[in-house]
Amino acid sequence: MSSVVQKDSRNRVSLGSDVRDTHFTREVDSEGRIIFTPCVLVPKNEYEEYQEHIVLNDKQRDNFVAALLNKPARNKAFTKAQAAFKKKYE
Amino acid sequence: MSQWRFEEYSDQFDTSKFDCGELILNEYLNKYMKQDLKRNASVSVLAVGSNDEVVGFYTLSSGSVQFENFPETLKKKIAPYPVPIARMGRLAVDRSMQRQGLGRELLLHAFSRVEALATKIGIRAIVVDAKNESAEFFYLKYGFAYLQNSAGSKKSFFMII
Repeated sequence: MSSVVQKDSRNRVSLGSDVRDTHFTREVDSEGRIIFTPCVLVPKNEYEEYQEHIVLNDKQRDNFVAALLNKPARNKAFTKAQAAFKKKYE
Repeated sequence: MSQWRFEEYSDQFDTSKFDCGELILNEYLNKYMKQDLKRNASVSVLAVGSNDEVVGFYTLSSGSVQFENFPETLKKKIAPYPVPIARMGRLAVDRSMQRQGLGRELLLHAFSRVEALATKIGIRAIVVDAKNESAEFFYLKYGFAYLQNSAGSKKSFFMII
């Protein structure tokens, strides 16, 4: 979080705190340099949907690998639906 | 004549009346879909009705499946790298079109797209997320297999390409 910098003996001017609804926080370090940090505000549930890298535990891994190593399975419902879809659109 | 047609996302289609019964999906369509497209985070396909109103959609993005543990014995069977997958993160059908086969057609449209891509780049599976029990039944009905529990109360399922 940013800090409010009061005017001090070196005449550094206050930057104020985070500004709501902007995408930057502003801080001043000990050497008087301004640090702009971009922030992207994403609702938590939306962020979790962006987790592209799925990590499987051992049991999940074994199920997944077993499926990978076998011929891709298609049940009757899928096969029938796919045939109807192809007939309609292709 | 079909009640809908499939289109790539465009501003020209009316999303304002879309309601699939899941607020988060309605919001996604109206607030976030265009941003994701601009950021290349995902690609969306719309099902559009006769008045150019959006009646359904799905999103596709790339992803990977990794393992917490990768035993030596497994390395003899598959390459020791993350498995590339396509992820259909969202699928939604407007209430007015539910139970008419649109959900099934959106799924198959996504599947055929991923299947075609898999011949050109490495994609081994399609992963889908079920936000509720009804969605779980839907994916299980068409032969998807359980992958894992994901964020919130969602479950992920997969089908090998």
